[in-house]
Amino acid sequence: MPVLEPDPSRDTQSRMSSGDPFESVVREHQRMIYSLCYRMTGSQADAEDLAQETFLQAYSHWLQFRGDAKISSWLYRIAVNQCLNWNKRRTRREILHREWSSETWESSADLPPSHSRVQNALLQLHPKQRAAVVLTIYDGLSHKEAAKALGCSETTVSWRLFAARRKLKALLADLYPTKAS
Amino acid sequence: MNNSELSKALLESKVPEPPPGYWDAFPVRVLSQIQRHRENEAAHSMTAAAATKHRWAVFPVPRLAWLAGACAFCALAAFLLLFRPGRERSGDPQFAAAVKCFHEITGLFPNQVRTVVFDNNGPSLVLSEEPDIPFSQPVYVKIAGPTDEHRFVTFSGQQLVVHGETFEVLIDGQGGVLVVGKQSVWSSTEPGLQAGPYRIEARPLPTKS
Repeated sequence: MPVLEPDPSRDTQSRMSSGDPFESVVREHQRMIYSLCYRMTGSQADAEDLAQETFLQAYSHWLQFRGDAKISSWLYRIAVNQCLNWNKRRTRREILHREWSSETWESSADLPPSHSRVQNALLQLHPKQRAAVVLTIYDGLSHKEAAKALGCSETTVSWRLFAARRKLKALLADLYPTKAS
Repeated sequence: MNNSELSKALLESKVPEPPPGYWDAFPVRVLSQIQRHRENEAAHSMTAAAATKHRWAVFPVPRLAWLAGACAFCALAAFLLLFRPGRERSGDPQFAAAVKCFHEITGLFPNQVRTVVFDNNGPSLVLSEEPDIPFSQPVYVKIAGPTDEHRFVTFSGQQLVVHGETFEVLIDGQGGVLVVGKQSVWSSTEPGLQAGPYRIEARPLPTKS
């Protein structure tokens, strides 16, 4: 993952020009951020909005980005906060669950049936536990990196994962029926 | 299902792929949004600057004097709130009563108390037959369900039963409390998280000096 050094001497106008490094940041990280937002919300439309918001936030704080950190870690942190705030604002969660299964992108139909089981199980976790699962299991972050993105301690990440795994195993036990305890 | 099977099941669930061309259009949409925001902000800051100029023109008192007055008022209000006479200093009267009662009971039954249960009928005891309970850090646990609330003072390793569900109380090396149920885990590092249908609160009891 390349690390771009922010250049405070450049004004915002020059950043908007063609070949702007921020555009390459968006291109490079858009799938990663979109996937995280989708796992966190279970909604393609909301994932798209949140991914856009993430990059807008990132742009508005571009000068505050410390060059010694990875851009991806910084974007993860912004995206996770966006998703957690979205969750607080969202009062129609049950409606979302119903909407999710009938969304219209054709590619959803190609996914196996277990996909919706897994995504629904993820949505039943507490959002902070879900974020820990997405960052560590899906995105492969270490507990230390996930703790940094989530703004908590490694111990807290471990406990969130423990609790999340316990609940997910109960919800998805029949996907592995022969070995289910 | 073990951890690796769970991870496999999770990883098999893919994110739906957007329509063709989506990823090419996305950065363009983001950059045009940024452009719009920038234009809106520029317009807004011009309006705000004009409004501020007008406001300080209406109130001829210098801005610093207004700010100093506001700060003094806030400081006075905070002082009155924090140090008003008769302000209750103990946070939770139930907790204070439980601490007092627990110390009295352990004085009567040393090394025999497993758990003290507090309910509407007052405290009741779960005692060991023999004085064989080793001294360890006592813990105050409050488990509130949808309709009722249960309070206990117990020790690490003891089990509590609420509506047929068993909760095990554990203390880690740093004094953190864990309350582990069959379907839920509560940790004092994240007290806000709800454990299933229950709201749990637990903290170590101050030891008797």
